[in-house]
Amino acid sequence: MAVRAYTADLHIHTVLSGCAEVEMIPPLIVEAAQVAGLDLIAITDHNSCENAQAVVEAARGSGIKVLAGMEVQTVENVHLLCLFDSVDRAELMEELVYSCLPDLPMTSRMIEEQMVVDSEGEFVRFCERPISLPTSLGIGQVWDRVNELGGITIPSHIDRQGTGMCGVLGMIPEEPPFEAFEVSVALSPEAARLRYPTIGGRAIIRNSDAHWLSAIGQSRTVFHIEHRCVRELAMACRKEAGRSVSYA
Amino acid sequence: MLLEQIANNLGLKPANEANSKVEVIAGYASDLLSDVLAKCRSGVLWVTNQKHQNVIGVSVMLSLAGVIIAGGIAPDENTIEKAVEEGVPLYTTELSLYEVVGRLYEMGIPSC
Repeated sequence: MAVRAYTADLHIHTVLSGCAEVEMIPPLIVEAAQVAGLDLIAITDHNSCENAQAVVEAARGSGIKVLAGMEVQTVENVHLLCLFDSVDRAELMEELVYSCLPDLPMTSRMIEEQMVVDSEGEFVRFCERPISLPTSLGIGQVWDRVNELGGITIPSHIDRQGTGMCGVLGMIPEEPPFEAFEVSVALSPEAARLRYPTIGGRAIIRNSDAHWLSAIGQSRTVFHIEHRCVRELAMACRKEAGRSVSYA
Repeated sequence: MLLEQIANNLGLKPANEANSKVEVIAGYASDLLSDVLAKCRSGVLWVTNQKHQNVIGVSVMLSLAGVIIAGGIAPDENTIEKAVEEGVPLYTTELSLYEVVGRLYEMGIPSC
């Protein structure tokens, strides 16, 4: 198979994330992704992947590939995108993340903002775990487990003050050896390289971090890869074997 | 006031053996390292609950007088290693960040 361009938005929330709009249900997310001309999306709710399978099912026959993932909040309060090829792998990550959530009582209002839905967007149940809070996992621990599970870890919106890696930690840490960094819509990849020179030759990607439908695909990255899978994404980030990253 | 005196007064536990005979000109408390980078300067004593190794990186960049990790939080191993390597005075304490800052203020350490 030859390398071709796949347009991706790898940071999309669903109604499972308390901060997302109620319209973020699987069939509407897939439809919005089609309208936006995306080939590849990732479902990345906070500290959970309970709606990933529903979006994978909703996307069947749409031509859109869905990666299962989550946006893990570390003990440093840094947000990390953790992406996997299969829901099974993401669920193994979720197991660790759930065991590291704070043991705090949730108010009914918080719980009612965290909806697990089916592929048609019908309500299934509420997620009663405090998934909107930081875990006790350090950045390195998240990286290690994602690697073990064959996934890829990409620090989210590194330029954001409260939850982005450079906002929280002042600069990119020497370890672990991230292959790619996501920048928020506010910062161009060129400006990011100037502001954070230690990114060096590593990839910068843009995603929407969509919490509502019209945001999907508004910020995107084109991956020049053979297949839409994590391994190929990592190769593109490393510019290996003709793979690369560009922006639409 | 010398960092050594402050450490003694507060009963801080040194995490490494760095030179504590340095003058502290002011104090600052924040867990957002980008905020510290923007506001602090040489000679400032920084109090935080953040335990990541970048705490030391930031301290080196700004030539801070030292760092106190408050609230009984244990620094990451590589944070201590880096503090040793860079010679940044790093302390821990069971006192809460609030109490540390209050007592520093009482001692007459101004805000940076």
